[in-house]
Amino acid sequence: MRIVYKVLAGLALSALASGAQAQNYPDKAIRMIVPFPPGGGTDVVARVIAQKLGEATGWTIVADNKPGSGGSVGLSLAGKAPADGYTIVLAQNANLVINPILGKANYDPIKDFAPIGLTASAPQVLVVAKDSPLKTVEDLLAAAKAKGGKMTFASPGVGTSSHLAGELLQQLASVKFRHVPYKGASQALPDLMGGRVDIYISSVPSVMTQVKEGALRPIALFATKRDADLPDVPTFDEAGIKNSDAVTWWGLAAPAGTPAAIVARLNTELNRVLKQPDTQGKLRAAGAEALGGTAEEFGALIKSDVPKWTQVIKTADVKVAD
Amino acid sequence: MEILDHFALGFGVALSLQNLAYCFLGVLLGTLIGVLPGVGPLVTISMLLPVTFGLPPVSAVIMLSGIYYGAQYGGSTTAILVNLPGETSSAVTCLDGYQMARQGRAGAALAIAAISSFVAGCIGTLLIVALGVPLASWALRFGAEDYFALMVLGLVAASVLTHGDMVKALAMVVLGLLVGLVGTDVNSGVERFTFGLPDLADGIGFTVLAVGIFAISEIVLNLEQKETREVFTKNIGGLMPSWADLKTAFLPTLRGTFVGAFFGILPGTGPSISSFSSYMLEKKFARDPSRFGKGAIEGVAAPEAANNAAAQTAFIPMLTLGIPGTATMALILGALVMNGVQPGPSVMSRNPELFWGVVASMLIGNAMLVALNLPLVGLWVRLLSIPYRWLFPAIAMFCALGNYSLNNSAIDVYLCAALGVLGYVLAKLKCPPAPLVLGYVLGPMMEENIRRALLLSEGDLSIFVRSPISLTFLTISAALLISMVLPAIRRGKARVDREEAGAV
Repeated sequence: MRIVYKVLAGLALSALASGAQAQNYPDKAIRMIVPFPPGGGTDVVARVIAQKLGEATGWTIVADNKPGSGGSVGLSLAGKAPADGYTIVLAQNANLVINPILGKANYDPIKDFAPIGLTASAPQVLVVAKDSPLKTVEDLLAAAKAKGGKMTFASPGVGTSSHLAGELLQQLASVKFRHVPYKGASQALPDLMGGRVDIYISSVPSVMTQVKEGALRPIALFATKRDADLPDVPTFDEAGIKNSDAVTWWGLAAPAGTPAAIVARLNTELNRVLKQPDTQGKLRAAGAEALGGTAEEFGALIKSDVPKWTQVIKTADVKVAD
Repeated sequence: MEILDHFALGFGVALSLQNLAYCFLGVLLGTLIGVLPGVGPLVTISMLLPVTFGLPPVSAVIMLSGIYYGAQYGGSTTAILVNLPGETSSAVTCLDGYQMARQGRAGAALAIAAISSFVAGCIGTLLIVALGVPLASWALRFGAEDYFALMVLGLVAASVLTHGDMVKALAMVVLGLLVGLVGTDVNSGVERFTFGLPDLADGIGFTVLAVGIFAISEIVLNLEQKETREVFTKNIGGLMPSWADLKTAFLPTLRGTFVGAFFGILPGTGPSISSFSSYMLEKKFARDPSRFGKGAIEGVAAPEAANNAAAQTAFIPMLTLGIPGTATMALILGALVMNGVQPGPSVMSRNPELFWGVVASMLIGNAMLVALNLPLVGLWVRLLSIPYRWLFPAIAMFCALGNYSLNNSAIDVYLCAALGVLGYVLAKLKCPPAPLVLGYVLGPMMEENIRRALLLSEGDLSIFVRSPISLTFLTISAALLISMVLPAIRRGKARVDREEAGAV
């Protein structure tokens, strides 16, 4: 009896303590880990959110770039940080969900993190050079079948979201491409425009310039709906390839065990700034669409993404770690 | 005479008081961050990017580009004075610039670096104007096989970099290749030589390697000998280069400019390779190649011209194709797009004020940089009279700061220290550092491109001779090899003949 009493008292005390913690929260600067170097898409999204959250609440939020290993370094640091609400991380599906499946990370997307809220997303697009004969999804699939696995598919790197989107397409449409990985867009684009590779899959912002100039032609989006910047481009879903959604998403997360009251507070403030037109405009300029929603919804997305990409990676036999 | 009208328009934009101020601010910041190792234009521009949203697009791009090419000027300063490459592209300048400083000619070296940078910057800017669009579409014709052949030419030409022991030089190239292999393999995504450390998954940074091998090992070497310091400060000599210096540096500057312009246009190569290549070219052209590495003024003029020209022409693929060749260019591209400017072949006609304004500001900015850097020469040289007990800890601190700021990670600082020890050991064994750095730079690119070329050709090796660009580079490489080997064979044969004659 005494033991039960003690445990109960302890629980009550710790609940009180965490309540007090949440009430005074935050009494110092919050560190937002950005798992990519300054200047990239993730960095822009992080800085917009950090700045807007700071303005809306008066808190000090410091964006702290911890790049390396496709985001694994930053995520790993965040997962091991004290769960006191003073360390949060802007995760992306590529590093939070996919890196652990590829064996490139030592954290568990579900056990090691407390989701705060989905922040933004950007679709992936399949593009061809302007003088390519391919115009529609049907052209693409027919040509891929005719070429018998010799159609070359460029991606910004092995295991990137774009590579996996390509693998997903091959599995759903029962076609075969030959994957040619590059180190980002700067070398893949000259080869695509010079006709040395047939197709390229990438996030929309990194090919927007060439698409607007007419140097590249978008064929279809890996998304559930059309993109505001590319209203004439269909989704693969529309073209009859179901469940081909492969957006890049960003979401705010904290180390697992962060008090629920603090997570709820962060979620409220995050949703508030994501509704501001200025935030939406700034994210739009970086090619991302502001999202939002509850922490549970974000958690559910992570839980459904893990088996989906595990399946794609297993089927395609993508191996990066040995 | 249309071009004069364009320039009139451009200067009209760039000479406004506001834009002049932003241009000056940009090049001043560029010079300052260029002096610090590790803290490069990439970090600075990304920090300032949000600030520029409030500015008119022209002013924003004028300032950001000023930081970018200004950094190329600043990078040479510490390379010459204390063997510390402030920017990756100035690692080559260490080789002869630092030797010049040791001979009391730091002033002349600094001034030549500034002057050749200016000449190259101006020619590079004019190239953007005159040939931007055709050059960019020409660069699109370079496939993986052509990049590979270009790297082969680079490595073959590198053998002229060596003086003295050929075996040691080759060993250093191989060691450089191995260091370059650390990290994630592009083709398979497998990590190599990372020992399970996620911090090594992206490889060993160029700054970490160059600072360790050049600066840290130099500090350690100096600590063991007390006398050199006197030689260093006693005879600083004239601050400005002599007429003879200028004449010697003239042609190397021009050659360096064209080598740099060439590499600047090719996405993904960049200023480091261009400064290396121009250095090798000068050594090949020199009447007395043995002077290189011992304070040859051409060894400062050519690479400094090359890295500046490359910085300038890197704008060509970015402005006319929207393809950023380097991470820094990607940021400037981002700034343009966010400000509502769409780069592309028609950028000149669609946004004439922006295009010509920025081009004119580059000419003005380069002039400002010379005006800024030449008077600073005297000040910089006086830095050398600071006692070692103050100077060395300061250098070591800046090295540590710079390396930390690369990834906000302490691992890079430790790595740099370890590489410093390696550099010291190599110096003691009289192994030259330049082939190591070159192997490090070229090796991974070579591997990436040969594998990509063979992936695209389905393993057909004839792709390397079917592409005319690749064939040209490979032919030149073969010719170079033969020209180097033939005299040796002839000498060897002559000796055998003599011996035979003696025997008879």
